[in-house]
Amino acid sequence: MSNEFIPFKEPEIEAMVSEAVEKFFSVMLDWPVECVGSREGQTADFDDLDAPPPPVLESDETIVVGMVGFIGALSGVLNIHLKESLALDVTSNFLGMTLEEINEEGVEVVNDALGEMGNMVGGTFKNSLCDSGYDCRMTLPSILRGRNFTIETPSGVFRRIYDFKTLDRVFSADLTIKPGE
Amino acid sequence: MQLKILTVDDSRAVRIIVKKAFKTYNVELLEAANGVEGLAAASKETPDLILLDVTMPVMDGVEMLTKLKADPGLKNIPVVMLTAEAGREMVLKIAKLGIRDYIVKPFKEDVLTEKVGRIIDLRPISDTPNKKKTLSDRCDILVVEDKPAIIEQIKNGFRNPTWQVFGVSSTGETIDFCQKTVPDLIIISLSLPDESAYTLFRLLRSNMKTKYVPVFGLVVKTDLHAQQQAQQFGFSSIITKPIDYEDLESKIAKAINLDTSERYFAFEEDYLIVHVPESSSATALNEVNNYLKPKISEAVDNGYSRVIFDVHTVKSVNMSFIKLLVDSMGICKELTLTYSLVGNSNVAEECKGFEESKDWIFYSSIEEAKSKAL
Repeated sequence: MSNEFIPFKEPEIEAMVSEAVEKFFSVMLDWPVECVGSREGQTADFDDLDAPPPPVLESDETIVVGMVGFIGALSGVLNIHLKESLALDVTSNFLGMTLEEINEEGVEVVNDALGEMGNMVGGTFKNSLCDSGYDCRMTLPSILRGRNFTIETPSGVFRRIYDFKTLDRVFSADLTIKPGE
Repeated sequence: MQLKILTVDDSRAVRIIVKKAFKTYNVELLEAANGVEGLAAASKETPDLILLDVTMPVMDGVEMLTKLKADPGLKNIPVVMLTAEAGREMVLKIAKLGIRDYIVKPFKEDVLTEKVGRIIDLRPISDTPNKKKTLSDRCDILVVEDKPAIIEQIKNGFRNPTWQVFGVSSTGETIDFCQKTVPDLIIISLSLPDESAYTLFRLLRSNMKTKYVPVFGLVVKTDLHAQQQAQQFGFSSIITKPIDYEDLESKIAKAINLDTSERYFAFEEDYLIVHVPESSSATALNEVNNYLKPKISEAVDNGYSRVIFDVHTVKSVNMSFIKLLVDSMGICKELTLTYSLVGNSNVAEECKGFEESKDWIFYSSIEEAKSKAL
């Protein structure tokens, strides 16, 4: 997917997403993290419903996605996809809770933590857009949870998936942007 | 009085992190999940500070802040924004409404407590009245000195085995140490190069973790200028070299509010034994004197009726020593307790030279006092 829809070069976008992810990991978790690559995120071919695009993160595990949107001069959504095992460890370190305490609290506390992670990462990214002159505001974060699902975006938008590695485990940041109102 | 902080954030995760950040401080954390709940909690509880998010459902942080500032009863509550929203225009818009600080998520817990500590008098839980530390509790003392021999000397100088002395030689090492472990007391050599002792003192006082840690200055006895300067800076106490360890221990005990009574008072069988310290310096005797009334009262409360004043280690007699014993005997008489004295021949002889003590009888050991006198 080309970036003809947005006023940034791809390396600039990658730098902004990487900075946002790295900031969260270094400040809140004190974990090392690096961007290990990026790929095009497929937009839907609505004429071929039998061949959907592959999932952002291939895994037998449940996938938890922290999603936050931004609306303004540029609009879009940043989704952070994590396997459930990594989501549990992030929650544990982020909130200072043991895995036993998280299990006692249930899935809601993981959703809260991943929602806030999405909010913080998305917020840092959105602030970079604002500081570059594209003022926008954030939406409330939400959570997607499940297995073997795909996220499709309509044509006419910029979509790119950035893969990250932390402590030998991978996760992905899936960015969609389009010009705002 | 316990301070109240209201955190208004729709994210439970953030409220958990805020709670965690303040768990070692003497504050009550109140929570609200949106602006409407936040205003209700602020009206009901009148918190000392509000931490406020921007993007929230029902009522966002900007609207809550606007309503708060329009309420004469609430407008003076300091507000710190804690939000992922940091676009210049949004920050300017919020700043115009009147806030005390702005923290952008993600945030370090230290940054949060540091900024809040600049607005309200945030005190660690350990500073609030609770069970006093005693001599058997661990006490960490950090010595900042660029001469390793002095650090070694201080390590070997303390009598109490539970006092752990750690040595560092620079400002950077001190800050690193305090980030990991907050010591009970810090001793800084005032002769560190480039007057860095004073810079370090300022840094320690501006950091929430070390704001209330007693800081002693260490300097040679003849350097009166440095002693005066340290006092003006607000050092808790000044220690002069060569170090008088009895005096230093006593000053440390006072600075960290340590209960040292077990060093001087013991309950054995039916007796309260009062051990008068060897040096009979004014500082040491004063320390005993401070515990005297409460300890003798404790003895009476617990059914003890006999007291032995053990002065056998005392090297020489002075008026402070005589006065302490005269006062002690007075308290015993008042409470109808019987008492006796245990001392060496030198003390007994010297006491004959004072009007108040010329008739005192000393036994040579506690066992003799127990068997013959009482």
